[in-house]
Amino acid sequence: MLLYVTDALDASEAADIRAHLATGCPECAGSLAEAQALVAHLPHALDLIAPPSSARERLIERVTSHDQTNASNASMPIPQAAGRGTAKRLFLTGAIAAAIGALISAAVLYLPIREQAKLVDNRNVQLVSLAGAGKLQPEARGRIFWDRQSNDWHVFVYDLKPPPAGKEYELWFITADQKKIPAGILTVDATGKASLKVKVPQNVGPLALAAVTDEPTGGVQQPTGSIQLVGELK
Amino acid sequence: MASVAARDPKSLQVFYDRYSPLVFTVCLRIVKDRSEAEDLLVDIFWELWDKSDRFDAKRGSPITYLLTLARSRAIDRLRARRKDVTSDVSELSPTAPTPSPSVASVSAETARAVKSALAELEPNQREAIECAFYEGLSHSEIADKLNKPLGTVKTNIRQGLIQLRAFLRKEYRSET
Repeated sequence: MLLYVTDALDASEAADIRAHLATGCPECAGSLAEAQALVAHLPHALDLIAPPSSARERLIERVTSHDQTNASNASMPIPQAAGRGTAKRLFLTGAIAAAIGALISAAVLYLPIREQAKLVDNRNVQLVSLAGAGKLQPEARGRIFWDRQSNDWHVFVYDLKPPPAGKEYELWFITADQKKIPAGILTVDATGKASLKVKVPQNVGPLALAAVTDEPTGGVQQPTGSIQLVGELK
Repeated sequence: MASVAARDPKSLQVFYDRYSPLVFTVCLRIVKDRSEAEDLLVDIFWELWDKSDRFDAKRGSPITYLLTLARSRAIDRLRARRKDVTSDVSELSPTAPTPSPSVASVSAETARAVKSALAELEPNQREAIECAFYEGLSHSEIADKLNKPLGTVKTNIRQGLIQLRAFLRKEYRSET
């Protein structure tokens, strides 16, 4: 949630989180509240600057004039009263559709987002951004949460195009001396999302890159396909 | 806040008198223009009044809600404007009004805790956090300003906030 409240997420990632929060997940609502409270603490360290007194007057004037307008509108007949039922029905239909949409989203997104929120809050976790490679995957992007303590990679990718027939997307560890080590297959769902948890092999030396290529189904031991996503490990 | 939600104008005035310096300071730091900051201040308290049903006490305190709203509206204004700003906020004099003694002591305590927590951060983390939260810069803008890779800026902000949270937890725990 720290990334969400600090506007560090892509628009579609933020939209996913908003949709997930709309499902009422109590754990994520709690994480959001905690992250917002933390960020809201920061201004307290600033030297305060007094606002001009005209601001207070303008606010009071706006409140007063609005209340007067409301009071005079309240005495007016409401036109098209019959239409309000229609509006109410439309609202209910929309609300039901939204609820169904939220339930579907929850089924797909619940685990990854909650998982990601926990990982982001873990100080032992290093974040690595994955970017789509050129024209092949212009929209694709992803994130690796590298838990330095357990040495696990938690990989989440978004907006990947479906792989060509007979192919799958394979993740690679690439070391500083250019060794390519297979890290697992990313199975993309209908919305272009995929996730994978994989242990970083021991004694491979420092890692420099993470990459995803398209490879024959079942994966290969050395990359043969084109790079679809890549991220630098700093 | 409950009485603001009940549309009691006096409660709104009390709330305004307590928190307007904080909200105005946040807005001014971000938009760096006094008259725009004043407009924002009025709009933010108006929104608080007019859409008070949006506040949910279960999701956080009124001040968290107010400051989240202030930062968000100020950043929206800044990004919509995207014009060069010439005034230097550091030249503005910190002339805080004196709120009620209880509010002043709570604010002073919080200010002391946050300042000491910020001082504990690594300089690159503190610098990135200040750019993000006191100047309203996006992470890409911070990367440009500090001449650092975007990934490094994101890592510094995230790690800094995680440490800040740990410091503040420790700080508040030691006070209770």
